Amino acid sequence: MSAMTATRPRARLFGPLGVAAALALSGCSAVAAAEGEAIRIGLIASQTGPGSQLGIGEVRGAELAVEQINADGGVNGQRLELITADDQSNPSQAVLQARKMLGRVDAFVGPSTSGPCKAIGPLAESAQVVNYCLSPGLKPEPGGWQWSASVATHDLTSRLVDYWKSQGITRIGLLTQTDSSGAEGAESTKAAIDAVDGMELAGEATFSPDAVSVTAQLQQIARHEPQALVVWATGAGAGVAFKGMGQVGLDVPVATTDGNLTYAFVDRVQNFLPDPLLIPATRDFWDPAEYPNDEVREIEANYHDAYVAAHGEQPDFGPGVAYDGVHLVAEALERAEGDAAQARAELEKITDFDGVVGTYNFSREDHRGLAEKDVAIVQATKDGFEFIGGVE
Amino acid sequence: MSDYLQSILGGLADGCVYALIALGMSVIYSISRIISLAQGGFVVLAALCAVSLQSGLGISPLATLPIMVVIFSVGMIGVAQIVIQPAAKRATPERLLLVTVGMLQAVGGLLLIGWGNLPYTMPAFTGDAPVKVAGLSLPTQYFWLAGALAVSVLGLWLLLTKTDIGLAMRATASNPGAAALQGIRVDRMRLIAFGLAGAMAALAGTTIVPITFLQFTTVTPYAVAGFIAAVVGGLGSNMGAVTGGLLLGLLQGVFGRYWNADLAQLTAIALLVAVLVIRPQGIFGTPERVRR
Amino acid sequence: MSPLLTVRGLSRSFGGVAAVQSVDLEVEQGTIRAVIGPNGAGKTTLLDLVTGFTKPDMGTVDFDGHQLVGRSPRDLPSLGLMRTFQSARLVPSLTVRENVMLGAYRFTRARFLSDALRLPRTRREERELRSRADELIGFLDLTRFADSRATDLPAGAQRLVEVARGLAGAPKLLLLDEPAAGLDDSETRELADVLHAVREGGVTMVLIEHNMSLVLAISDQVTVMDAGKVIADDVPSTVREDAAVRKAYLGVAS
Ligand SMILES: Nc1ncnc2c1ncn2[C@@H]1O[C@H](COP(=O)(O)OP(=O)(O)OP(=O)(O)O)[C@@H](O)[C@H]1O
Ligand SMILES: [Mg+2]
Repeated sequence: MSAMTATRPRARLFGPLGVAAALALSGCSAVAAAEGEAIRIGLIASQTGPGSQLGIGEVRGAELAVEQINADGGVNGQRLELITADDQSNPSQAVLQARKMLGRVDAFVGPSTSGPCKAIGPLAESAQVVNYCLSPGLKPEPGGWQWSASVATHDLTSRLVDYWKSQGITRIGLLTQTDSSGAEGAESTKAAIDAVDGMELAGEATFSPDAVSVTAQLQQIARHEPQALVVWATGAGAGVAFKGMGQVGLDVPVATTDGNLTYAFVDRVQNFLPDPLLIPATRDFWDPAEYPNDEVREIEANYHDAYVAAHGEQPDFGPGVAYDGVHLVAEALERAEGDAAQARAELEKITDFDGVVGTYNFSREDHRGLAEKDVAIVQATKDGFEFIGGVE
Repeated sequence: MSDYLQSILGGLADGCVYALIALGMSVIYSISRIISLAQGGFVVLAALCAVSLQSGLGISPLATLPIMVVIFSVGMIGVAQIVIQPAAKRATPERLLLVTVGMLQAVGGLLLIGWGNLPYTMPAFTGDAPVKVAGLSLPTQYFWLAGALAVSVLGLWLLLTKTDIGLAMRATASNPGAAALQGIRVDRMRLIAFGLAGAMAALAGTTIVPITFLQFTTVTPYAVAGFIAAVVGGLGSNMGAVTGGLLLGLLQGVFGRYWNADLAQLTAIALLVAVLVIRPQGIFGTPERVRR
Repeated sequence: MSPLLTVRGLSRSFGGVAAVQSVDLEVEQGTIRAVIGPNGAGKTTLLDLVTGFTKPDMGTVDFDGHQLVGRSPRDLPSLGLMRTFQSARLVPSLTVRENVMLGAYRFTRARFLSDALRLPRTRREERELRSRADELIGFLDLTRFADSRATDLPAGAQRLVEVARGLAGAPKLLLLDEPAAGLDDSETRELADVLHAVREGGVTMVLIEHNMSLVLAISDQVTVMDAGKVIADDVPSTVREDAAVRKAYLGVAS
């Protein structure tokens, strides 16, 4: 056992490493040996800054997973340890924190948003450490060292369009904020509409995140008489759009991004909630009655109950992805018998893995593992999120 | 046609906010030669304070207006006295710009800590039902917003041209040394300018927040829009600040009908910056101000 | 009765140049004291030392019971001391009227809030200030310039605006640095009348001047400076005959 812990980090250290990484590591090797026989996951999350709403929940979710794994005997009998760092929602901080952790950790989970995820990609690649990024915005390379959490935007919009079709809605308006997530939402929504027979785009407009009002854009869309509206925007932008709908009297069902799947957000906009406001959501937001089997039911209950017991509130978007991320990475490290360099190959072999967000099927080509089947439609109400339907 | 007008009105609503921010910057600049980018941050801070006051203490939205105006003018005088004046004694104008950028960031950080990464709004001063005029739907808050701008412009004009403090302020703006020789307390005039800018930030923030949602991320775009408006109008010219702000909002609104919002914003800014190529001193600026 | 202004042992050197050397000077209440001397004699430096623009190396300045050395120039209007400059320092973007009004700024009682609210008192004060400024502008025959930008005026007229501005401050003592420079003969005679009237109104004055006829016409006492020192101090008629003065002025038109 002790021989294994000694060789584990070394194998990477003197492998095909970048100079920068080697420099960063040289100071750490003594520490790594002294820290003994735990398996370590480095969690980089945005605990401060604009991403903090995600990051704080992610730390909670990851801690919960580590607790439960250790209670079940750890990873191959070794204790699982979580080392957390704050990237302050900033890509360069993420790289700095990742550098500091290199050599001490067997895998990375995080960061919280796509910018920092992209920034630490090269580091994970050169050091050959698995990186399970918690942002759905990352598009991982097949066979690379990075993974991406949750479902892709096109799976969300595709499920949404299918759902509306089943409701007899065919004309869909599209209002998006001009940031990277808004642009991706617009593209995915249009692709989903194109892919389904009989659906058509009815009006399209964009607005900048600092717009005071979007009533003009909404009126432009309203002229095309949409039966439903997609508002791909988060935070203030989404609020401005919902408020504007009331002002121009556009009263149709609205769907928005899963970025708004937070209780705090719904609470802020509760007086302006469209009727209904739909959100394509992963399994951790579904009604327990919709879970596919008892096994999943137990996994979800385990997660939700423990989270509520610890924090006194239901988990929203952040905790679930981190909880699954830690479980997946720990499973891969277990199968690799603690050899971090083997963890990528083992993670790629994981299939039919029930997490709280969905059931994962990884392969060399698919470093996300979730698909449209893991998405259903929930409705945001003043009291939280209510399952609406759309499960196959 | 009516929704063409609606775009113009929406743009002008944005423009009113930009104009108020630019006006605050202009007042501060003309008297102390400091470009206060933090002005954009104070607008959002005032807005969220008003929201908290309204929801926390149950005060009517309209009543938060005078309260915020008082708090922010006094607060800005404090900030100027504690942070800006001491820095101004030592730092060059470029360094001072960094100080105000730092303050802008600090305000953003404060907003994030105090209010989180969440959007805030509050009910309109006089009801949420819009007024329908000739097929246009006008939120009553638009009138308050236009009123806030009009009151600021008119009040400032009266103060500067019809009172002796105003005369002393203009003298300070023109030549602080010569003004001081007449017994004018130049430092005090500068504090008054900051106080006025604080009042304008409060007016802008409190009147805009009922129409929209604001959160900490709005801080920087407001600062940038206000700054562009002030520069294009002619730094230090109050008329210019208002014209620049309204023009920027208007162009954004009109272009936004045809193009992606980002492109519209970029084009509006590019068009205004092009003005500076022809008139480096800005629309209403005097060349003398540029040289100094 | 003690003099309104008493200067004792005032000295200041710039590098090797002793611009002012232990100068003593007394100005009695209600009189006009002229200070004459060739270029570079130290007249302006003397005024600068009295008004705090330049710090003395030595000496004291007593004005109306206040020690002036160490005070800032901006404190002087409120003590009742106003001055004009050899090259006028008017506020560039203000009109002549506004510049003159600034001279009376210290009298405005109104505070910011009442100004902002345009309370009746503010408005009355503002009206009084304006009419007083217009009166002084008329007095100095500047009415046709009242609404022009002060710094657009010829240099001579600008100095007259400074005289009006100084008077607006209702000073006890008015220090004038070559107010007649650049004026033609008839304008100079008018200025003499004005200063005469001002003295009748009880204002004490120190007048730096090269124009000997103006000096002889209106001053009560004349101080003659040369190379930083006082070389004569007497009534005008005596000074005119003084040999040392004639020597100092050799080569200078007079
Ligand atoms: N700030 C200064 N630095 C150096 N030298 C100075 C300064 N001010 C005055 N001087 C010198 O002191 C001397 C007296 O100058 P001052 O201006 O007082 O003369 P003045 O009598 O007013 O002359 P004028 O009739 O030309 O106005 C001159 O030699 C002058 O060069
Ligand atoms: Mg001189």
